[in-house]
Parts: sequence; structure tokens; C-alpha cells
Amino acid sequence: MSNMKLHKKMGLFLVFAGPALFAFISVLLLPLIQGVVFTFTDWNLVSDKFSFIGLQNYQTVFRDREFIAQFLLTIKYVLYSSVLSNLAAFTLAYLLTSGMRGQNLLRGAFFLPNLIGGIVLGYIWKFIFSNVLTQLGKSLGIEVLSTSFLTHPQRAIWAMIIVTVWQYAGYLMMIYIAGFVAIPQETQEAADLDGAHGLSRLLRITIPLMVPSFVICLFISISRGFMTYDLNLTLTNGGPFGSTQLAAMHVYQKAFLAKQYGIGQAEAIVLFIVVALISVTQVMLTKKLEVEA
Amino acid sequence: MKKRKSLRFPWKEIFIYLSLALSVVPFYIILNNSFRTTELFISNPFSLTNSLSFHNYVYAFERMNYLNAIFNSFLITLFSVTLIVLTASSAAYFLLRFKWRINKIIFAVLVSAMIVPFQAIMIPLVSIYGSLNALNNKWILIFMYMGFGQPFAIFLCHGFIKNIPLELEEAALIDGCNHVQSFYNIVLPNLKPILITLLILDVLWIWNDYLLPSMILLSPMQRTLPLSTYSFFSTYSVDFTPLMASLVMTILPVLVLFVLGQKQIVKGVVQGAIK
Amino acid sequence: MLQKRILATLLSLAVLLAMFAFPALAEEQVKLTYYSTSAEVNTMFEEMFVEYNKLFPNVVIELIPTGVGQGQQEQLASLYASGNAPTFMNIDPANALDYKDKLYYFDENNETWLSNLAPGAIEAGRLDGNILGIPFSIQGYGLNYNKRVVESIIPDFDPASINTRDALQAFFEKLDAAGVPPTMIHGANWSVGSHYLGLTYAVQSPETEGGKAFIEGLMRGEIDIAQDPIFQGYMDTFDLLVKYNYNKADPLVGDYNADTQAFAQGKCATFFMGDWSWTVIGAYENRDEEFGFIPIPWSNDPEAYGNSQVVATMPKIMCVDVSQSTPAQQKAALEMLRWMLTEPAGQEYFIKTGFSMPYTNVRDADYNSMTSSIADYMSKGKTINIGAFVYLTGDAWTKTGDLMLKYMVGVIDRTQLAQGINEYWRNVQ
Repeated sequence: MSNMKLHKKMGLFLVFAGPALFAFISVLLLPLIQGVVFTFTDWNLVSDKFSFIGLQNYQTVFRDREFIAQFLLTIKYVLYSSVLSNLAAFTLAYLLTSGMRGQNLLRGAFFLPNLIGGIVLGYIWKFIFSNVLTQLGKSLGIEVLSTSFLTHPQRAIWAMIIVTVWQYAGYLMMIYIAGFVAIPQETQEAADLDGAHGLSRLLRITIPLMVPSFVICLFISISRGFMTYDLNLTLTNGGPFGSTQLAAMHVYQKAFLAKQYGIGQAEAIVLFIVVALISVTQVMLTKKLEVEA
Repeated sequence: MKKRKSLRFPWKEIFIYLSLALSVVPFYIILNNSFRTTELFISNPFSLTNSLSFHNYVYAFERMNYLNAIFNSFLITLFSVTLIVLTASSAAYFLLRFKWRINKIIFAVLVSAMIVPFQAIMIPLVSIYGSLNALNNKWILIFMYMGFGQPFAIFLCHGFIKNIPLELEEAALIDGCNHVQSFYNIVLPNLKPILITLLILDVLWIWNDYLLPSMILLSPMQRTLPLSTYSFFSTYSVDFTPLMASLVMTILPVLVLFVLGQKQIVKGVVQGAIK
Repeated sequence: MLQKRILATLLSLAVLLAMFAFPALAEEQVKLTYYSTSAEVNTMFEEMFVEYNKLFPNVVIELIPTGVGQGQQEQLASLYASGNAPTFMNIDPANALDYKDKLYYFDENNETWLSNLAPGAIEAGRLDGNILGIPFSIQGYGLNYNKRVVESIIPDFDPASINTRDALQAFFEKLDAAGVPPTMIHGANWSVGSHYLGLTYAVQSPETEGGKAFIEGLMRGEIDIAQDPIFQGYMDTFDLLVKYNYNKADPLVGDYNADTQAFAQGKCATFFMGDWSWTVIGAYENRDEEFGFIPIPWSNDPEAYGNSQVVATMPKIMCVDVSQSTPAQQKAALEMLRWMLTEPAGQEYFIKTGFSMPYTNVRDADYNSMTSSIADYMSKGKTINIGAFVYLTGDAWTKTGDLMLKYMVGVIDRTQLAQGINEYWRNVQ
């Protein structure tokens, strides 16, 4: 490859990656750079004037105890929801690629929760937690269900986790299914011939070959988890009394309600950097486990 | 070698169907209550509807300007997803196969971009494109989806391209194919399972997306389906039953697509397995 | 004959001239965009714009879809940032203050139709010395009560009899003894944080300046809210409401649909809410007919300001943007506002939707019982001025509202509540 002429290299680059990168840069990268520039200002979102104040916003961010507390809460939420949704998704994918009857239809059925978008999802589940479950709890006499999950700080975060798992299990399942399906037939047959069945087959052969899927799914659930806003807003609205407010919601409120746009942006950037570090580390570690076919 | 079918306790089936029931309960609530009134819904969400009254559907159809909205959603989703799938798969292939330093950097940037919180770029995005007077335009929105969809799509493809044996491509190159032909004839067909998965995931994302279109598409005729459901939300409360009817009408097209697409997945899988 | 010919020629020339001149004279099409934060009544505006376009075909008005709930602030900010600011809009006065450099300053000399406003109404839009917007509706809140339920236990009940906390307490006790849940609090931070806690700021003085100065004192750290007798008084009354709350078993649910339905069906006697709830309640099939308002006393002095009054306010104002619109658009927008607010045809839309308009030339209409009750208090001059609310910061209602909710369920006590409120204001930038 290295003996290719430069213009040929450029040509290939432009043909293959050109359109994608052009769109990416114009739509994501450029606004991001401008967004970063804003973090060094005191713009209040409305006026035409603002001044540069250096790193002051970042100093404020690190002293914002509320932001730090909510960030830690977000980490807890992401941990639980990622692990649980991946577990559920993997199990479902495994079972639905094992030749069960009607498994195609079932795959579709499990994917349904994904069809409901962010805002409506939250409202529907909010209703379920406040009305449906409470009515059920009262009529069956189950104490823990009689009052809404959403009015107790410890339980409300679990409401968020439950809904997230409900929504993402099907989504991640799709990726796991693609991974299972991509395991070459020959490998499977070879395993059969060698007498590897059930659990040992799962552990020694299937899982190692599924690592790319794990990498992708973990990455998705972790990064999406940190960016959760729609669900947060509509399901709990950060309540009760702000105890389930996650980092992204805090940023929105800072930027748009309190109109401290520079600080809000700075928090968004800090959030981004920390999550990027976590995710890139996760990807690199797990990619090392990848096995080529 | 066929496995001996033994009489075993149907653990699998029980687990699957129990999970299914749990997954599907909200849908029962939505579908059932789309035929009732909000008042009844609040007092008794579970009871089966007395009649199959379509009043909510008619009301929602009009309020949403449904035909216009579904046309917009359809157009935007179709073009965006097609562009994403084509450009991202070729970019992913390129970044992986040509192990240049710059490609690795670009890949890292792309992957990190997946984590950018949307509000960090929201205002800069509209101010840049607003100053170019480029807003309120479906095609700009499609271009934006193409850009926003790159990180995830490239990331997804990347992992699966690794599974395609290098020898196949090398054989093609020796036979006289250039890189482009090799990509289209060898790599792309092998990517089918993940491309179809990507297609489905992206269709869902774009079809249901609210925030970005709400900032780019400003006039009533441009509204997509999610935007047109705004009228059921007021500042403090929600008009539930028409909302549910509108939700059913929003989900239905994608559901149909998905059911049809399922067959394609099987086809693609079978083709991929016969190498 | 010659004269006739000359006349005919002149006439035809005139017609010809007119034919060519008319296109130049004919008004060009003007397109306006309108942003409404009163999301509930967007249909009303849409219909209004269609009719207006029929009357004035050269004016086309488009309604910009409103962001849901809190999304409204982002939406407006995004519209301005992208250069697509709405030509005119209806927003909270506090918002208007944020955008004051971009809005049109109304002038009673230019907009003579403003003389139709009821006395004092124009003050709703006078912020920082300029008239940034014009109000179109009056809303109020206090202790909303269900007449049928209350009068079944206390015949000939007179809301004016509740002008001290003791009277309120006796009232609740009577209801409670009869087995009727006396009151209900909607467990949302905007209700207890903005509407209830806000009373403390507003009642400092009948003039907006009093409340504004109080808030500024809090911001500078000069005022400790725990030392304020009005604050302590309102919190004592709040304790009373909490004690007799219909939602006591699970007070934080905050389901607007469920709460309004319960109140409409008479499951409780009173409800801390405003007359805007009629939009939802009026639509229910199963509900009672007559409702009214009772003051929320904060002390036992019947003469004290706030004890015999309810809040009446003009919560939204119509503003015109001048920073991103052309003079032709501004002119058309102002003309549209004049039509909407002072022409009977335009006013009809508001009246039919149930809005009570602060204009002297508005026709007599049968308003629903809640709005009539508020109008009654207004006609007697018995209202609390909440002009100070304009000076509350954007996130005050969420942050202090959350503190009030914590206090409501006993997670913090009164001292901590006061401390929390003090701290919030001191840290405001």
C-alpha cells in the first residue's frame, strides 16, 4: 500500500470516505468547535454581546456540587442499565437464534419497544408507574406498589433503569443477533463435530466470537446512557425534588432555563470528555479481546 | 448432525413468553386506550374498551395533517438512511483496510463524536445554518442526518468488516479488480446482516426523532410525524387518548417495514452463510 | 359631444393607468410567523389566522409548533439563534424581559387602540420602563373550591368569610368532620414553588416594587427569609394544606389529569390551583358545574394585604420582534394584534375559548364559574398583584419548588427550607 502514488491515495480517500467525512465535519465537528468556543464566554443566549472570560466557566463547573452529584448519579444509572439491558439482550438473542419456533416473529415482537420514541415513551411509562402499578398494588395489597415508584428518590431511579432496559433490550438484541448470525457455519459445524455443546460451547466458542458485538453494544448503552435526557424529562422530570436529575438534564436547565449558556456548555463539554474517556477506554480494552474469524 | 429432540422442560419458551408479555403490556395499554376517552383512561387504564370507536383516530388524523406528515417523514427517512448506509460502509471499509496513521485518527474522532451531547452543538448548529439561510429545508435536514449518522454507522460496520476474510479481497485484487469493484462485489454483500441492522436502527432513530426536526423544519407543511403530535401536549398535561391514536398511526408504517424487512434479514443471512 | 368624447378618453386612460398602477399599489404579500407559549390553545390561533387571511389575503401567518413543556425556552432561543425569530409571539413577561433588546416598544400614542385596555392592564407589559407586550387574558389562582361539595356541608357558604388562618382552619375541620377531604395540593414544583412560595414575595407590598426589592434583598444576602413574618405565615398555612391534602398518601405524584379529575368530580372540597384548569376540567363529561375561589390567608389579621384577596394576573403578553423582522412585517403584526385584541371578530376567538380579556370593549360573555369568580374579585379590587414574579430567575420555580416539595413530605424542616431558599437566591448570578 505504501508504494501507491499520493494522488491515487487521495483519490481513494475521497471516493470512499469523502462524502461521509464531509457531512460529518460540516454538521457535527464545526458546530462542536463553535460550541467549545462558547464555553470561554459569558453569553446568556439572548443578547448580541458577550465577552471572553477564559477558563472561568470551567472553574465554576468543578465547584458545582450539584453537577458533580448528578454526574455520579448518572454513572450509577448507566452502570445498572447497561449491564441489565445487555444481559437481557444477549439472552434474548441467544434464545432467538437457537431455532425456536416462530423466532423471527418473536424477534420482531421484542423489538417493538423501540418503536416508541423518546418523549412519548416517558409519558406512557410515567402513567404506568403512577396509575397502573399503583392501582394494581392497591387492589392486590402489595405495599411497595401502592405508592408510585416515581415519588421515592431511591425507587424513582429504578423506574428510569427499568424503562431503559425495556427500551434497549430489543435494540441491543438486534445487534447481538447479527453477531450470532455472522458466526460462520463452518465454525459451528466444527464445534459440533468436536463434541462441544451447550455451556462449554457458549463459553469457549460463541462468546469469544461475539466480542465485536459486545464492544458495540456496551459502547452504545454506556454512551446513550450518559446522554439520557428525553426519558429523564418526561418520566421523572428530575423528580422527586431533583433527586433523579441526570447530567444531561442539568446541562439543559443551566443553559436554557437559567440562561447561563457558557456554563451549561462547559458542563456539556466536561461531560463529553469524561464519557469519551470512559468509552474509548472500554472500546480499546474490549477490542483487544477480538478474535478474527 | 441433528440434535436428538429430548423431552425437556420448556425453560426457553417460558422465559421468552414471559418477557414478551412484560414487553408488550404498554402496547396493549396504548392500543386499547386509543379507542377510549382520556377521562375513562385515567380512571381505569386497564379495562377493555367498550367499542372500537375510531373518534380518536379521526381527530388525530386531522390534527396531525397525517398525509402530509407521513410524506415528509418518509422522504426524509428514506434519503437519510440510504445516504448513511452507502457512505458510512464505504468509509468504514476504507478506514479499516488502509491502515494509515490518519485513518486511525479519523476513526478515533468519529467514535468519540458518538458521545457528543446534542445540546452542546444545538445552538451553534442552528446559528451556523441559520446564517446561511439554509434552514426550513428537508434536504438540509437529510444532510444533517447523514452527518450525525456517521459515527454510529461507521462504528457498527467497523466491527463486522473485521470478520470478512482478507483473502477474499486479495483474491479479487489479483484477479484484476480495483478497490472500488472489490468493495462492491465482495465486501458489501458480506456486510448485509449488519447493514440491514443499521438500516433498521437508523430508520427508527430518524422516523421518531423530534428535537432536530423541531429546530430545522419551521413551517407547518414541513412537519414530520413526531412534530405533528405536538398538539396533544399542553404545558402541564397530555391529552392521552388522541396521543395514543397518533402513536399507533406513527408506529404502524415502521412496523410494517420491519415485518417485511425480517424476511430480508433471513435472506441476507442465508446468502452470507453460503460463502 | 366633444366633451363626452374627452370624458370617455380620460376615463379609459384613467382605467388603463389604474390597471398598470394597481399592481404597484396593491400590497405585497407579507408573511408572519407566530410563536405561542400557550400550547393548549394553538388550535385557536391557527383558526384565527386562517380567518384573518381570508379577510386580508396579503397577510399569511404561520404558527410555529411549540416545544413541549420546558422545551419552549430552548425553542425560542434556537429560533433567535438561527435567524428565524418569530415575527410576533405570546410569552411570559419574564421572558420578555430577557429578550427586551429585541422587542418592539409599544406606545400609546402610536397604538391608539391600546386605549381599549382595562385600567391598569397595560402595566402587565411595562417592564424596565417600556411596554414590551400587551396582555390578552386574565387568569387567577387561589384556593379553588367545589361549590356543590362545600355547600352540602356549609349551606350559604361565603368565600369572603375566610380571611384569617383560623377561619380557614375551622373551615377545613368542618369538612374533615363531614368526611370530605378538605383540600388538595398538586405535587408539582411549579405549583408549590412558583405559585405558592411566590405569594411570599408578592404580598410584601401591593406594588410590584415591593416584591422586586425583596427578591433583590435575598440575592444580595441582606434578607433572611426565615425572619419574614409573611413567609412564616404562608408556611403555617401550607402546613394546614399539607395536613388535609387529599393526596396525602402519595403527595408527589403530580398527575395533572388525575388531580383535576378528582377535583372536578368532587372527591375533595378545595384545590390549590388556578382557573386555567377549566381548560381541562370543562372538557370532562363527569364533573360538577360550579366552582369558585377562596383567599389563602397567611395571618389572623383580616385587614392584612393578601388575606382577603386572590391572585389575578395577566400571565402572558403579546410581543413583536424588531431584531429580525422587516418594517412591513412589524406593521402587519401590529395590525394583526389590533384586530385580534380589540376587534369583536378577533376577540370572539378568545371568548369562545374561555379567556377573560382585560379590555373595556369586550362583549359580555358567560364565563365559566372559575373565571367568573376571579372576575368578581377583580371588580371588587380584591386581588394580589404578582408583578414581582417577572423578576424571578428562570430556574427559581424548579429549585425552590423542589425545596417546597421536600418540606411537604418532611424530608427537610422549616429552618432548612428557609436556609435552602436563602442559599438559592444568594447563588443566583
